[in-house]
Amino acid sequence: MKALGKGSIASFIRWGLGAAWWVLWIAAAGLALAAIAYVVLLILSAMGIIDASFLNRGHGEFHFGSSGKINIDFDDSGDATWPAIITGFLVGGVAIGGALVIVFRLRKLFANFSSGEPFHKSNADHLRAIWIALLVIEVSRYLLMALMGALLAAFGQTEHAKLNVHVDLSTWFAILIFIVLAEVFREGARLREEQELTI
Amino acid sequence: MKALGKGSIASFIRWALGFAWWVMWFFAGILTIAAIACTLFFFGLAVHAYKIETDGKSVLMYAPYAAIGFAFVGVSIAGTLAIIWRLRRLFTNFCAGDPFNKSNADHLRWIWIILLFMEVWKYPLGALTVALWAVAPVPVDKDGFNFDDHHNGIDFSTWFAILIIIVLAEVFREGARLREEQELTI
Repeated sequence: MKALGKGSIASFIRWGLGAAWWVLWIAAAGLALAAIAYVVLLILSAMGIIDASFLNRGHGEFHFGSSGKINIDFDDSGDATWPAIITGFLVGGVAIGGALVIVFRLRKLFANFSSGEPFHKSNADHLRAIWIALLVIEVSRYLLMALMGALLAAFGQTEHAKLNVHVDLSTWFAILIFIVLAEVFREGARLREEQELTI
Repeated sequence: MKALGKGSIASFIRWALGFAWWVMWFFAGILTIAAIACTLFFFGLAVHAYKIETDGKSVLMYAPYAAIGFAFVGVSIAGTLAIIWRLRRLFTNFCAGDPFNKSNADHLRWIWIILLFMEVWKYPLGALTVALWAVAPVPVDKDGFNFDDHHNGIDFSTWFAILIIIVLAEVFREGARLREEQELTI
């Protein structure tokens, strides 16, 4: 099986990315629905229509990708946990939004590979957009983790919240590799352009 | 900071790969010592099992399981060393401002072949462990041993990575062809 062109491995990967694209949109819709439902519950709780203890949960754990996690015991009333829940929705939003941007760019990249154009001028830009998206997601994780910590300290009445933070070196390494790859593809596009001019 | 050439991001990655190279050799050394110690223990003392603590559970370790474990970790370390060696060569060319050196496509081809071997190697070892478990399960002292906790099935991300590296290898081959044509034109 050939690696580039129609009916190639690149086409198969493009198809896989297409499936991932729709899965991510379903996840985005699910997250949006969950966020709306939570806000409605908070409003109903504030109006006294439902008991605030309805939102109580014994224990929760928020993962910020592989950058860190926060363990929280929700021993208080539901509306006191909003700093954790709202930041959790933001974390999910950034992760899904970032993944959508990355998958969109990868699909464009592999569309060029599938059409036998590995050094199309736009490919370097797609790779640059991918490393910028990865960078934004990673930095956002740190900022949102700090935001959750600050909100919990200011408004939360949790029994205890344990914050675990560690820098995910593999993500930073991936960002650096994408920067290098973007430059390699820019060089390839330059070579192809020169070749076309020669012909 | 520039991406390719001397003092670039590629140079930094190459330095990190050099560091990883020595770390992996350190692990290879530890594995060799452990394998020798185990062999002496099992065969020298003519025993077939010893007790170890894993995940807070006390289990009896049998020689065949130890052999499978060493085969798995040994191939993983050897494969990782081979991949890092190829990546170092690749990034050496990037550092020299030569991203489309003819050898780069070969380095990438070897990387996906090694990854493929490392992934495929896991399946017979897993099947062997399951078969061995059916014949001679390891006695457990405490909460029991959940086989599912130690068996992750097919790793799709690895297969996806292999496919992407196959495509990248072909892209680099195309780049090398373009560069060769350019040199011939000049």
